[in-house]
Amino acid sequence: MTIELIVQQILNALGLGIMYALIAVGFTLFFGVIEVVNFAHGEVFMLGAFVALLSGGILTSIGLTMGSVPYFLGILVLVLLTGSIFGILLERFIVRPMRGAPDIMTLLITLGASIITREAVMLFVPNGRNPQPFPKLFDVDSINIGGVLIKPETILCIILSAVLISGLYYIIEKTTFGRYIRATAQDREAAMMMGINVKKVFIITLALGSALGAVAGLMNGLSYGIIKFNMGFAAGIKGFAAAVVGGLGNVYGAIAGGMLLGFLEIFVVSTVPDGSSYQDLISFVIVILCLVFRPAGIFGERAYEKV
Amino acid sequence: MIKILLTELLGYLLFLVFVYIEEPILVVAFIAAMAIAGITLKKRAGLLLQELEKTYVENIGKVGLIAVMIALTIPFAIMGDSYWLQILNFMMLNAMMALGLNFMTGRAGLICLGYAAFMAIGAYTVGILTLKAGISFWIALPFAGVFASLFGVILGLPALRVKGHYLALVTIAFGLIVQELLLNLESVTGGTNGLIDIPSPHFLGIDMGTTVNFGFMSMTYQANFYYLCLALLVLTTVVIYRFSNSLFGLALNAMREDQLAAQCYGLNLTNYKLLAFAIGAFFGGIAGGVYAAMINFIAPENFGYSLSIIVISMIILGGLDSIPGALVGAFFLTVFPEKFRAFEDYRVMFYGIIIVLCLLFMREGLLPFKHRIFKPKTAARGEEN
Amino acid sequence: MLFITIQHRIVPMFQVLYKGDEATSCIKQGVALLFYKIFFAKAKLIIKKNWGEQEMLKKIICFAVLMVFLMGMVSGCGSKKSETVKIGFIGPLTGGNAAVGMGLKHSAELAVKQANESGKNKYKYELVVVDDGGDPSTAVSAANKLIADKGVVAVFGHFNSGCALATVPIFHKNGMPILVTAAIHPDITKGSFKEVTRIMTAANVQNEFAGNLATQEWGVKKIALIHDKTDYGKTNATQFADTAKKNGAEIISEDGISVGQQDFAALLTKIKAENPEAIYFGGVATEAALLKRQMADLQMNCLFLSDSGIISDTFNKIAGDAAQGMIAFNIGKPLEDLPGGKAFIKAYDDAKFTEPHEAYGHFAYDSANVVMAAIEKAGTTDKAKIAEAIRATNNYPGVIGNISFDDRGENTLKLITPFISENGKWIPYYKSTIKVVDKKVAKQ
Repeated sequence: MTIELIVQQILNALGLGIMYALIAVGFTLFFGVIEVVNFAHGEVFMLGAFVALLSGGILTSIGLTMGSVPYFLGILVLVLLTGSIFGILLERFIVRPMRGAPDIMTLLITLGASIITREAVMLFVPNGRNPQPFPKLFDVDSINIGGVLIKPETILCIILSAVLISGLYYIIEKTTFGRYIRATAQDREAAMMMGINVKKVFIITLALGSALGAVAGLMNGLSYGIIKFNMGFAAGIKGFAAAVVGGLGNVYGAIAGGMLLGFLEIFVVSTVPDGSSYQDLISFVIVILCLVFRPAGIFGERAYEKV
Repeated sequence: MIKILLTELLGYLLFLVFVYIEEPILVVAFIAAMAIAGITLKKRAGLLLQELEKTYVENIGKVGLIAVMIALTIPFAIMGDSYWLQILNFMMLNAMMALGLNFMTGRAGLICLGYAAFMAIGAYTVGILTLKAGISFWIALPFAGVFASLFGVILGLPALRVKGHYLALVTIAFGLIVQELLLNLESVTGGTNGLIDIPSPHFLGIDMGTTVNFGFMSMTYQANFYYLCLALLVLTTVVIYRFSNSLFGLALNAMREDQLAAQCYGLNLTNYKLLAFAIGAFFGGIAGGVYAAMINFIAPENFGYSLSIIVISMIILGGLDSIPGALVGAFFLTVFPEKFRAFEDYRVMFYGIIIVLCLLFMREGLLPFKHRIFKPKTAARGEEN
Repeated sequence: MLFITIQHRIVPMFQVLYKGDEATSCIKQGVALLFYKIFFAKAKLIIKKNWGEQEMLKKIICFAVLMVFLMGMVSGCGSKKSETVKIGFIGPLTGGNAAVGMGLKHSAELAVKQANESGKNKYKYELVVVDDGGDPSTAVSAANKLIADKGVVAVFGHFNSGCALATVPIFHKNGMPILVTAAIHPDITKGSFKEVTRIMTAANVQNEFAGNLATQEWGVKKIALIHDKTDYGKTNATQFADTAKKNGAEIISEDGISVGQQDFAALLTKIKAENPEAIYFGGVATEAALLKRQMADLQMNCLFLSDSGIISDTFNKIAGDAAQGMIAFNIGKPLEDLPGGKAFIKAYDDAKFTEPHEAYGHFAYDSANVVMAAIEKAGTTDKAKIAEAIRATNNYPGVIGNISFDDRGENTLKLITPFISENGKWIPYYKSTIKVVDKKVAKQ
């Protein structure tokens, strides 16, 4: 394998891993703070992509031209908004009524919510059953640096994720509200006694996590140029797998887990013969192994820390 | 006794009417009428219903017997309509799966989102044994169950260490891995082509895949399978019922409620979990085996994730850990959508809505699980053991 | 958005509700309406008045049960009658292939309508439509529905090979003639059942043609194979590879991908390193488009060949600019270049169906006509005789050309056309301005 090839594959892995990481962050936040595994999280990923696609019309009607930076920012804002709203609705109508119910019920209801969301998009978006082409927002070709081809979308995605993740870091570590989140994650009852409005923390957490998931969906559309109503399922599973690998509840573990999963997939595809057949299976096998042998994630007990 | 007979006959009659009406609008009207009647009855004659329920619970054996008697006449009552027989066959296979899954998920609290894999294993076992090894269906069928059980235990092994959400993920992964294996082990499973031309079973020298002639009317092969499915469903129900009402079933309940406490009482969780998986999976395998022999064609795509979801929604609708619930759930979710084929697109959405609504407003399902009441004699028998 | 929703989903919903021939449906609607009025008036009255009386409750239940029986009777009466001959259509009206299925269905309806209007026929025909959902087990119950309908004497249809493979033994078992319209799996006619005939050319013919063209005419020697692990994709890829190998080409790699997978960058990077002269992909449009797009991103410009599954607007839309130069092999010929193509297009447009005929509509049109011609020729409703008559069809002038069947039940008319994507459209290779020159696509 030549060095260009290796660099090329590393870039491919980066683009993939960063997307998994963004989804995984949501899972891990929900679990850490609300103690819920949100099976509908994959759907916010799909919704984000569809909103990005459908909001094009609105943005052009208010005078923004396609390919311009404000246009992209507009889409980004809309996607973030949709993600948050979806998260808030989920909290209000699905998660909150199930408080106190057995785990299995909460899990099943989020599963139900995910089915409804997915099918609704399929049925009510015009031509929603078929894959939708996602427009190229920037009309730039791949850049060739010493035989390595870099897609502008990949760079954009990496920058965007870096910005979002540092934003999240700032919110969690530096703001008062972040302290509330951390306190709730550590001990819900104690936080309540300290006068923290836990309900509000829950809402914000779901909104935050879902918004990130929605952006991952937008990035998916950008990188592959195609979105489908059923893309949330695989994305959700992979995001969850990444979160588990990183240790559920550990935000930075989730990011690392996402990257690891991305690299592993690319590694298997590029080295194992007919490895691409198994690309989607890798995450499942990893997650089973991880759950059985390192339930607290690969970073082990000591790094295990909620949020 | 007469009360039971009459109410069951009324149900039978309503069912036949439901089968006979064709126009979607009439079906909707029928369902609406039934719902209104049901709600009014519950509001206005609640006491009556309670009494009826008590009679049913106390005479569960008789209820079952009469129900089976009635079920035996269905192929004649619907004039051997092969389409409806087929649907009823699917319904009974679904009911068997729902019972198996209910034992795992409802009774033992081990969530399984990959149940379709057990059906797949059963179906492929029968398919491969009868098609490639030429073994009789009747020998292959128990093997289907046993292999499914074996895989249940294999799935159970990681499940020993994980629970709740993690278990859900492991089981999803299990379902997908089994499907993927069926796709890739081409030499055995036929890969994407699946297995074509699986032979029909022979019963007393009669090929069950052929039309039967009763003299006054002839029936397509579905009728044969109708009786096979019915027999197996009755068997499944009885076995699951016995298991559930044994001390073993009680132990599973204890494990579901609190693993730690159950362990403190000296329950060997490892054994119980593996057994719950094995028993639950067994019936999925049997259902799959019959499916393979009935359809004569199986492919990995028939046993996807959505099938697992459908079975899960059946037991949620019926009520987790409720045996009549699983039967009723399978009935509703198989037979009703068939009447709305025109709205086939909305079918999966309908399952999602059922799951969400049930969990929000009717967490215990249509026929909630009743905590067991120990009659003295059962208790005594338990002590002896 | 809401408006579009109404248009797309709710209007067809009601169209479905009120299907059936008009006279009976009018009566049924009337009765249903009456029922509604009476029932709701009664219910309202009861709710308003003494909600507390046991007597009333009994009455309402009796009333409901009575109404239900009445409804059952009405619908029972509705479904009987008419001495016309029924022919069954089975196809994917829901699910992923619904668009194609609707095209098939409308084309079949068109054929039946024309036959009934021509006035030359002994029988009047009625099309019974069932939905196989593109899924084998649904297909089996749909097939049983057709078999259960005593009036149905012959069936045609199927787009998905999986469905056809599952139902063909059942049709055979029940002696029901089936003319397979658009499913291409070679094994469908493997049993040489006398009831089973196929109008579509089987996939192996297409793949042999493709393999020969690529290796012999275009001189490709190093081929990378990708397939989507489905029956369809894998069979195509394997048959193509077999032909290519026979002609001395080398298969340098074979990879499977999953349907729904999006990221092929790693796979393509790996393949690129091996410098293939052509990549053959067995699968359908979405994955092909993604592959082509990501090939462009990696600046790979070897030939990219595929099967008929990718010939759709979806491919061109998703692949965008990258679509240029994609080559795919299709069974049949462009509709307008077929003998009866223009007439069919015109008739279809005149019939004003809500959905287009899509790629395979004319096959359903021909199937319906072949079946009806066979019934006319047999002159009876005996299924065995009709099956014989279908098999004996000799040079029937259909849209696709003169149709005859061989011993196995395959159409002897075999048409394969290579297509190339040019400026966002699929152009038959014999008409395109882009040609394969020196193992690369180039504009002439």
